[in-house]
Amino acid sequence: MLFNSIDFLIFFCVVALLYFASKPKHRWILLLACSYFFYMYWKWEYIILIIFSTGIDYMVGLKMSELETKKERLPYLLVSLFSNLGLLVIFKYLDLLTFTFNELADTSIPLADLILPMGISFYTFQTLSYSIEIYQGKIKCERHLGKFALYVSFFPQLVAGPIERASSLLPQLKENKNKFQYNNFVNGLTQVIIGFFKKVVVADTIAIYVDTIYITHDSQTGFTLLFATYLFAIQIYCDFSGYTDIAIGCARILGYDLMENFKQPYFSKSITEFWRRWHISLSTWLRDYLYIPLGGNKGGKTSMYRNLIITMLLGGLWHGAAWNYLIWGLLNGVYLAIEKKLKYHSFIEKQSMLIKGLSTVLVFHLICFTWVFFRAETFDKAISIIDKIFTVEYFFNLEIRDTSVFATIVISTALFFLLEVFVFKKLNLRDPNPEQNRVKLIALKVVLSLFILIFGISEGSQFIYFQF
Amino acid sequence: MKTAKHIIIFLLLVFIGDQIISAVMTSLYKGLITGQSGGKTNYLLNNYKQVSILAVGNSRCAHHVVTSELGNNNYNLSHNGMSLIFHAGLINQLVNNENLAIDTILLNLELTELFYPKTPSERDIQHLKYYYDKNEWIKSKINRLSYFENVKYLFSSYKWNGKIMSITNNRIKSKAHAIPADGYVSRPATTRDSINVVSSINATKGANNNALAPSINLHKQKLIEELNELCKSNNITLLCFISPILNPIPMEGRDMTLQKYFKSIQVPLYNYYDVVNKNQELKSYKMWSDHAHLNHEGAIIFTKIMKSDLQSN
Repeated sequence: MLFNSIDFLIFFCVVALLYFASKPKHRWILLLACSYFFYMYWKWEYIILIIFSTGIDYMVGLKMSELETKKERLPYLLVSLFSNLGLLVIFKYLDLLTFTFNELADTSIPLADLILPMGISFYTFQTLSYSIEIYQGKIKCERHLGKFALYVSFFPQLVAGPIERASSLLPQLKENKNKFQYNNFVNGLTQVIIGFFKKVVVADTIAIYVDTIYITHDSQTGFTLLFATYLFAIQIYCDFSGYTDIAIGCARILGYDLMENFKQPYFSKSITEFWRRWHISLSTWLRDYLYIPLGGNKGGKTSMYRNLIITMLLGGLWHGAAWNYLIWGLLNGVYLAIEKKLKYHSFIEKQSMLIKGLSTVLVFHLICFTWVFFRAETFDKAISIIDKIFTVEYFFNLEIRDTSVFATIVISTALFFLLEVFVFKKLNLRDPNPEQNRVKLIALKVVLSLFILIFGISEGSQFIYFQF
Repeated sequence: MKTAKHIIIFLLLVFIGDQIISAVMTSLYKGLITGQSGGKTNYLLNNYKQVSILAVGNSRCAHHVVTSELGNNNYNLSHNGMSLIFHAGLINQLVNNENLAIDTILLNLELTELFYPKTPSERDIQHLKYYYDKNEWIKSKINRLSYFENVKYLFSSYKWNGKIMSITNNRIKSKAHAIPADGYVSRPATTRDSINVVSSINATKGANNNALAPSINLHKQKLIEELNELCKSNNITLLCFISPILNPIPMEGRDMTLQKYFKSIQVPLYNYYDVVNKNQELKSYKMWSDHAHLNHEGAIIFTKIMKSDLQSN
């Protein structure tokens, strides 16, 4: 079920009403049933994969909790790793592997061409984090199968995160004693409406322009392609952070606290800072379960640079089975390694506001450069786009295409930028007493709702991160 | 109690804003006489009480049918990029809800649309959403788009969703720029035409017969039949035609399928899809602004061919 659909709004209102009307001890049943329904609404067969992943990690957790040492627990961790990563390999990477093998060995093994289960990278990483943390002795296993299943499939964050840690979400799901609270409702509703605004007004309108320009890249000028890439940077941020806002807002209305996933990343002064503010749940996951186990920054500078690049490379691969995602990850890894080498992050923190501002512009452009690889479907296409952007003779002239769409993009992006700088930055959506900002919150919700009504794309387009 | 108060104030303010926006947009819309967001339709309704031939279709009708060449009192009410369901909805609105007498409707059909192999999305009907409360046929088609589609129309400003900028833009243009009296939008010949034709032919080189079904799409058949019924019951003659294209793919029996079908529903069909294979003048790149659209010179030649066929039948 798509968040940006009337179906979801009705679904969520029904779930919220039933949730607060039911007895706390039965709420996990309601939420689990609703979460499975939410997923099955898209493609019912694929619920089997979630059940499989849940079953494996539940059993692995129970077994590991009976064992004293890490050495004894290791085989069970490997079972979890192989099962979850196996699912990912089969459904996400099999075709890439087969294709690469065919190319290298000059064979013609047919591609499996399986439909990618929505959100598979998110829920497998979430269950993996549970098993890894039990293996590390950080948390105890969950003995209640139903509540564990709910942790894996909790609908607000099931298909595109945030990738929650068991130590944060499981205790909340176990408690289930949330009462309806005014502050949760007001803050949650505000965040949901902000999320819808970002998705259906900003991201989906920009998508109309960016999609057309990237499809017809051969006949576009460098400036048009550069402009479309800037817009794509805004589109992907609004698309993904919009989803996250809706997820966090819905969970908050029900009384659950999900982690922040974005902290205005395009205002970062360094790439290091960018990755602390962009898709935080994935970057911390990769840090804790990949970068640190690889050795982190403990084995000398060379191994630290290597670890950074490997981590980001695999982070790129997490997004999709394509070479352009690998290059996207590699570029980010190289950026981070260079920054470490130059100690840029600590250097820039000590500079004047002007230098910091210039650095923010530089970081935005470096990130936009990586987005070209992320957005272009193939490596050749990305190179052709970059070539045009950097070739003066192909550069000038801006293709506007549909003036109405372009004007809507300008207005919605300008409003979004103003809100991001002057409102969202100061808005505390965890405020336990939102009553003091009541007028401001209502005004914000009304303005954004009207924008959604008249400018929002209502055709329910997918969130970009659903494909990962 | 606090929550209820918060919700009520929020919804009340949204409702007031919704009504204000809707009222402003309705007023802007009424003054439109140019553009695809209702301007062309308004121009027709403001200036005609009766039309002899009303040409309806997409850009390949808008730029191809020089309505004044077909005779007096004709109007080209075509909308670029729209599919059959949009045209059917617009005709339904004009016939059932507007004070306009129509003698003949000349409906442009697309071969690729008629032989579309899958279930069509029919989302183009949404471009007529400002008639949602006024036309039951349009309302029913919009409501079929999704299970809860009607919920969106609880807000009256939703009727203007996605049209705000184009209506505002066209409202400003309406003061200075009027549509030609017969609705035909000419594409004057330019020196770049041949270059554009070559590049657009190259861009469509991948297109082939496999993308089309051998039989006419059932959804499209239903639309044509509904339209035919509407015309019959209102004493309007319905004529259909397929516009020419510079690089037609082989018809492979589809021409016979079309003739058989249109004969069975007693609607004359004029198929000019591959007329370039028979007419040397239209085969020249100089007559086209791209592979699918004739320029003004080409449109005059094509309209004359069509006029002669209409007169001989």
